[in-house]
Amino acid sequence: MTDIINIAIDFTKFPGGRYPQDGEGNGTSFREKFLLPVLKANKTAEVILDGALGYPSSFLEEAFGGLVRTDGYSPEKVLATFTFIAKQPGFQRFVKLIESYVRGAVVTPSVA
Amino acid sequence: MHKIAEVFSQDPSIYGALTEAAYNSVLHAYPKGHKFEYPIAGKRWWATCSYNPKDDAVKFLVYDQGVGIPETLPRWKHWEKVREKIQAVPLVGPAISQALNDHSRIIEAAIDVSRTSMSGGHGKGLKDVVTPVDLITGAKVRLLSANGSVLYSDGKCIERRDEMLHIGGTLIEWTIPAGKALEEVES
Repeated sequence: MTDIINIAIDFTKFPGGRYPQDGEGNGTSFREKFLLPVLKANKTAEVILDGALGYPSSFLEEAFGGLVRTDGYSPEKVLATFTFIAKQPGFQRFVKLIESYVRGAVVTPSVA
Repeated sequence: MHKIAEVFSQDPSIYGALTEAAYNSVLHAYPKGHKFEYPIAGKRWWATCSYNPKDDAVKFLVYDQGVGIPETLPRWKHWEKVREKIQAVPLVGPAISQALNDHSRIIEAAIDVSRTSMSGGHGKGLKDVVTPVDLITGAKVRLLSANGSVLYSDGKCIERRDEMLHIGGTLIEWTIPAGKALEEVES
């Protein structure tokens, strides 16, 4: 069964920043609260991008690129897990950015 | 106000540009030990906007009183690419080292590197800053930072100069033709 994550309704209309200290709409919090549980449960999810004011790169890169870079999932797994709805004018660009950030993310070796 | 809200809310790239500009200030403008021109104002950024009915254009501005973009770039992961881009300009002798000190050249090269870099991770802030200008016909953005001034429009820097005095931080000013912005997002 596919989950539905509506960013503007479930998380924030004002996404921005990478880390929790950057504010409530940060990418790390979104990744940990909404994206990671889907991957851990081996489910799929539809992510609705419409409704927010826009998406700064730092948020998108941290939220989606972070799944590869920080959490160690493969780009293929991430892109197979999430599909995106972006019907508002100008929002399809964010889907392409997410895909490029996921594919461009480099895994950071964990520090023990 | 209605016009400003209309443009801001209907073009999602403007939100990203303003947010990243402010975020860059938070992350980079005030390194440890920074000497403030106005200490009472602290490590803040400021934003404002206006609408000019004569030109039917909206201006958005973000300012901080930090060290300026050229000062922060040597710590950027793409700094070597910025240097290479500046040094690729056909100059000889002392002009080469002078070019590496021209703040406007550094800002121009940094915008170019951020726009074209395909690598992941950090470093997309300047790309977001110029994205509305790339998407909306007739839009422009001026970056005044440290001693450099760059005016960007039509996918490139169209004006560049260096001032004698440091501006005392970074001021980014977007000019968005209101009607155009709406046409672009509706098409």
